[in-house]
Amino acid sequence: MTSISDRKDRHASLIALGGLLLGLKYFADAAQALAPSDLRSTLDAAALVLALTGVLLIVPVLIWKVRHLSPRERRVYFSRESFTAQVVARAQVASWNATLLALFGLDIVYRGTPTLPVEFFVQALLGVALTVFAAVFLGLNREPSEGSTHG
Amino acid sequence: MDDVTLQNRVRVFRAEHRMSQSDLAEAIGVSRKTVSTIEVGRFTPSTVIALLIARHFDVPVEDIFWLEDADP
Repeated sequence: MTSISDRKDRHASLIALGGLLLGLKYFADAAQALAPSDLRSTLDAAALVLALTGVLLIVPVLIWKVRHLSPRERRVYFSRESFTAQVVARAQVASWNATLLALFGLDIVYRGTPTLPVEFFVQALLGVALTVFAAVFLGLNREPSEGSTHG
Repeated sequence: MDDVTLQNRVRVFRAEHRMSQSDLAEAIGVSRKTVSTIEVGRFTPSTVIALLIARHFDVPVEDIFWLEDADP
């Protein structure tokens, strides 16, 4: 039977994967402000597919968390004492740094093209925050190779 | 801080006690991936996890974890 801790690790990966898809969805939304009109419907359809898939990955995990955990299991599930919790923290830092850099970059873009809609800037920032978090998490959370041992 | 790395004998102790990574993980309440990343040195465990592992094997924590100079 899968332990609560192992299930938490799997859930974190599913949420990160969903977050990656939602981040790409926001990039597709933002790109519509820059794309020629004949490409916008394609980007809109891609954004819809990405959003639906991302939500389908994340929502069942959130429902499971609420419905299936006893108080003891909840303590284990939300414990910060794990490799995955450390990876989440590192991904959050990377996401914060990337979002801050993106803010500076978008500030320059805004000064050059003040006619861009405000939605473009919000969607681009959400895209950066989510994709960087998810990519860093999924990259660092891989299984270690069997050969590399210490002690 | 000195340039040191944390080394461990978790895999050795686990083998001596004929336990899988999942068995040890279940016994101390962490995930199997947490145990496997500790064994290969990718994850530096908290003091709590180190003490839980030592308590499980009934040995002082220094028997399982120790510091080693990174550049000998």
